[in-house]
Amino acid sequence: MFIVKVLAIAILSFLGTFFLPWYTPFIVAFLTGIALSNKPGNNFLAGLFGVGLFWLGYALFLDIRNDHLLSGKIAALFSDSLKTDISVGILLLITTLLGALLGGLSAMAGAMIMDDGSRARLRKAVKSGRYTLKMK
Amino acid sequence: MAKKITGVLLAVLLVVLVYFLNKPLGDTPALGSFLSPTHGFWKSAAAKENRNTSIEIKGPKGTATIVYDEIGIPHIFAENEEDLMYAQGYAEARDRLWQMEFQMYAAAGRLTELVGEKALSMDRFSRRIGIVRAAEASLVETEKNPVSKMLIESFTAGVNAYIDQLKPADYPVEYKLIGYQPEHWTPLKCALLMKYMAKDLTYYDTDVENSNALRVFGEEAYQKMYPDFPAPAIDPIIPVGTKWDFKSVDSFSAKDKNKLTAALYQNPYKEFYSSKFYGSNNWCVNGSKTKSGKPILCGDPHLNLSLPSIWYSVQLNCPGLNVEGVTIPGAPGVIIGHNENIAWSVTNAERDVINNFSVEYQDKNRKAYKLGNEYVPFEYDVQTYKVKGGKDIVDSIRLTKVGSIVYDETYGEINDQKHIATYWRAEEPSNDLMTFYYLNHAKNQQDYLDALKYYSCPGQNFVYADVNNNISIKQQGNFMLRTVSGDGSFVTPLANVNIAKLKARIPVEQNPYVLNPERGFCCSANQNPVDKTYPYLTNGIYENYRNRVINSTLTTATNYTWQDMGKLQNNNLSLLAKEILPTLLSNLSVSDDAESNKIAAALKSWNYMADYNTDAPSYFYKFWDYVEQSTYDEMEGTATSFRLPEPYNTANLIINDAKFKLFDVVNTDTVETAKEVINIAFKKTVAFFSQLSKPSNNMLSKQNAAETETNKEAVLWQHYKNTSITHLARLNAFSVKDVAIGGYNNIVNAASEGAGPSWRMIVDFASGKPQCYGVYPGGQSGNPATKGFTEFIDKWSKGEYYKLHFFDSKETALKAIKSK
Repeated sequence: MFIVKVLAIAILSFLGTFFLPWYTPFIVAFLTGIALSNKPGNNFLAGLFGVGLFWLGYALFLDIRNDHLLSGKIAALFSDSLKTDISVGILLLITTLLGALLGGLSAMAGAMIMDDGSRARLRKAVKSGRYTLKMK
Repeated sequence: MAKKITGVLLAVLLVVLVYFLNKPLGDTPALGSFLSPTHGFWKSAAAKENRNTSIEIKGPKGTATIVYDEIGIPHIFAENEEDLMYAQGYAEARDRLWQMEFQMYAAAGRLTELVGEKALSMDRFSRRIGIVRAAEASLVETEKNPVSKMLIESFTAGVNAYIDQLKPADYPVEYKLIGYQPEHWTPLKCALLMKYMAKDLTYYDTDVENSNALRVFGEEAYQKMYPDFPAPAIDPIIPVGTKWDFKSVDSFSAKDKNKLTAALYQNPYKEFYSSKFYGSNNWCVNGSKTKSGKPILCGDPHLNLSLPSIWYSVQLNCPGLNVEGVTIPGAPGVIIGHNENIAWSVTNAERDVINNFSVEYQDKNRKAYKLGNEYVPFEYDVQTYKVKGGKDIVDSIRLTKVGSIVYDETYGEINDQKHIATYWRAEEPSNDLMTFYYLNHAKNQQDYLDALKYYSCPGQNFVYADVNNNISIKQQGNFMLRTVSGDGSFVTPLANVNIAKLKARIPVEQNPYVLNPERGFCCSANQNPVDKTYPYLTNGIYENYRNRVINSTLTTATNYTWQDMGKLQNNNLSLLAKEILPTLLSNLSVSDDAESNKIAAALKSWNYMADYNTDAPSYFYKFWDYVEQSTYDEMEGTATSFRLPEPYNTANLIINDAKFKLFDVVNTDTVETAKEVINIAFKKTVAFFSQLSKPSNNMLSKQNAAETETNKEAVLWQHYKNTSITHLARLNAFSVKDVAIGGYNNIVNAASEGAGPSWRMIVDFASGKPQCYGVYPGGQSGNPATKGFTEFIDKWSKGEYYKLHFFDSKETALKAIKSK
């Protein structure tokens, strides 16, 4: 179940961000938290890994394909303005941590908002057809 | 329930956090979106290199094809000119969108919108000198002509087609860094680009500096420091002895000369003027000089070295047109290049096209100024600056009948009555674009002359060669009609100005021109255009070294090939050093210490070649700087603005007039001559280099050895000079520094600290069809994420060239890239 949750967050984020804003993964994580479980700790980890791995993987993919050409320049830019040595690795780490933490917290917030009772009512309502997901 | 509330609070907190991560903070980009791999800078790394590929563009009438070759040069094919220009706009935006836009923000004085109030004084300068007013006036002219109207409208539509299909995630990284979105291109921006170049190439006004020098140093010294024709000899663009077969049109007599204003002035924002950085060369030879018996034409315009590169290489092809060369992103057509019949290149004319006038206000309210015998109320140009992170700022600029008052009580804080109104010829309406349109289509000598008639500002030397072995050069521009020495070089009272005379121009057909000169070549290198026999005054700031190196080489040239021309473009001979160094050395009494002896020995054995891997040029140019500094110490530390005389004139004074009064050093009791100045300068040079090569004291011995090694390196010309190609937003991380290239100011290979040969081109007609070789310090791509961004720099610094493709049809172009 945990793995499914991580994958769901990663894949839905991946699909969503091609059309939607950069913060889409956090909305995905939040909604996953609402929909799937009310264990905040478990959800935090799912969001952490789901968004973190997605961001890390995608950044790495783009960066390796680019031979670190741009990331090297951005690292130098940050080094210049912060007057300290920032490497591409550190940039990647900061990026991953930012995505992971925000993802984890979003999923946790979603889980905390929904208790079991509310989720059961939600499921029942969906089943009874009062709420339907309209697909085009 | 408590958990639920915490959850809601956490969610709210996250929303707030994301909101702030989505906003730029001061100079820091919006960190969340910037770091996001799907939308931020990581995503910008996904940009593709456009090479060995082709795309089809749906234009206003039909389809155009853009074929990118192996170095990213687009070869554009269309069925008509509308589609061709549309596709050119699209291609330029595809490779250089951020540069195109950013340059126009700078030209229009809108940088405050991007970086906030710190750009305000620069923006005000752009608007107060009238770049926008000039662009608006020339846009009216451009739109009156159906051809130029079609050019800019089709081009604009193509740029916007590219912008409209661009998703925010795919914006060039600079947009993400600064935090803004591309806006639509407009025809006004095409006009702004021309005026931006006019500012870059003519706005180094010296009237204020000249007036001050005349006032402070006197007439005799002034003539020696800033002569119209430098002594002992000039080598003008139009060969000495060329006859002027026209009747001059001057109807203004000597009594119209305006008297000089008796005041000392300053230029509060000297850094915004274009710097004196001439260094452009162009020349052509006919078959008498070449191995093939056919002409060769060469050009290497000199501009600030920047990334993305100022030039963009392109081939344009449609029925009735096949042209290739370089353009400036934002301009339709080709600016320097060749077609199937002719080739052309440009250098800056360096003519003075600015006149400054002292204003006499009616009273302390400064609402009216004196013109003739009456007071005329000012008109006002009211400009609003949108400031990032701040309120709008409104600036009211006083306009006179000749032009604007740039500095006043609100700008530059000139609080006394010493305000100046500036007349700048770039403000006269013109349709310069048509020159390039007709040059692109030109088939022969007459077409070339007809094309130049449209050209107004910045004045240029257009060198020309064609398949029929004709060579020519013409200095073209809207030049002021001046005949009385000193006219236009000084600040004079606005009250006395004769506006008809001020606006009068030299007739186009009387501009300096020569066709097929006997010597078999034409050449310009920012020197005096003509000798004293020309009936009009041609005041400007001219150089007198590169022209002589090129002319003496071409005079003796026989059986030349394009490779020989390449060597000449990359020639590092310092004629300044060759002519002045023996005199400097013969005046030296070298003190007996290791450093002094080392430097003196290096200078004595130097072959005057400013090669990148030698140390003598570093010593010489530092030495020369100190010679100038000690000679003109009178100009230092005052609020008055002066300008340094040209090296040629200073060298001449050292050799022929050693007792010239400015050699005297101000803060000594003795009277110095050139000899003392030379020795003072040499001592300073030795002190400078012993400091540079001294290892710092508290280092471990191992590091010490390494540091001595780096200090030895630091003296080498490459590192000492530090030629840098700087990113337009001045980001060091996106710039290339310490380029391994020799040469310098006043050297044919004029690569100085921040400016240099911005495009080297050789067009060889050997095979009967023109073959172009070219290189520039940058690359076709304007995207720092691509290799194309800096691709050509290596070959450029080594003096090598790319052999450029000139396809005769879309089919051959497509076949060529398929075989890769």
